[in-house]
Amino acid sequence: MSLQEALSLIKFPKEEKGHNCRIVIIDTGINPDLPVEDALNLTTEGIEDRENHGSIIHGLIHSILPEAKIYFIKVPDPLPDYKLITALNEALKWEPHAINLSFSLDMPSDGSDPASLYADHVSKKASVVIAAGNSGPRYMTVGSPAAGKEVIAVGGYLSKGYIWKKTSRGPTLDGRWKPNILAPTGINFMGERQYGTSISAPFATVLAALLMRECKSPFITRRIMELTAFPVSLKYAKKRGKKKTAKQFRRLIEAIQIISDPRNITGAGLIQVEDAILYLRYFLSLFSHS
Amino acid sequence: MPCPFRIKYNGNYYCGKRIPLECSPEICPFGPETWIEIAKKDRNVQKVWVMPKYEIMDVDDAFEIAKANPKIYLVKSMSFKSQR
Repeated sequence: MSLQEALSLIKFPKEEKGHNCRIVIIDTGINPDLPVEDALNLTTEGIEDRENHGSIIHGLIHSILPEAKIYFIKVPDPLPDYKLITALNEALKWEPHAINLSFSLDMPSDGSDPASLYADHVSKKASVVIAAGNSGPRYMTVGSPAAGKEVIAVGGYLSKGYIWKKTSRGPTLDGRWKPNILAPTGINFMGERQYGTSISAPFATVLAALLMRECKSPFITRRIMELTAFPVSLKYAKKRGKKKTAKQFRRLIEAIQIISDPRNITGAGLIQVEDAILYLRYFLSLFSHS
Repeated sequence: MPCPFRIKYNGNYYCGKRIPLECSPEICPFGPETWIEIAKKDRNVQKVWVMPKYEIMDVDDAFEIAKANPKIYLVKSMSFKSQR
């Protein structure tokens, strides 16, 4: 699908340009043609993107919110956990509304590993949005740091109501459902069809930044994103000519015992930007004295 | 799906959450059914985190610290990959 189709799927208001939003991207390097307010390099090479990953995330966020202030932290890929903790800590100096992290791991966690715990700590001050991972359809593959209790783990959603099959699944080791929400993937962008939960995360980051700009509470932001998400049914894009084998059915029956909750696949559902903003304004009006 | 708390020390596997107990379905904090899934595969690491102190060190040193203090738990060090 095109970027415009993806934005209409999540009901993104056309007039919203992200004025006064501050977003930090932690990724593999910037797109030199696009603006950044400030940048930090935690690698030994230049700040430009050689992996063709960070520049796509940068491009997506800039295309959706052209007036948002974007800050960038370049990190290596693979990213060691101690460096991620440094990056998250450094990100706070810009007082961001949202932090986009399109890095994850399929090792399950209960949220008490250092990276998840630190992401939770940062989530008290900014919305931390993390790609759920691309290790589905196996269960218990949402790992650190997406397994954190306060972070927003984002799964992938294809057009026409289909879940992206490779989206990592919950539950976490301590039994919490994950991912939190879904956002579009499989986007035609920069001349290629871009798949992965890395591509989904920027859509959720944009919404988190818009909500945080108004309410300044990462907890309220996460809850409103979940509450206003559109429920998604459990269906996958079928591969033509392939029928389910007995082995696949047996795996499915075995998996039911582990998951038992469809939110471990779909989370709360597909994000709905307009609904979330309206809900937040209504919620805030309940507590205003004017 | 390897377990982040399954620590190999002196040829035996220990539960990083319950040192000095050896890793087994009976003592697994996540239950025996989950243990079957997460103990199948393992990723060996040189360094582990001593939590909640946020210190990273060799398994041998970390194990001794954890053995002496029941509030401390050990987690494997890990690296994250871009999700595309």
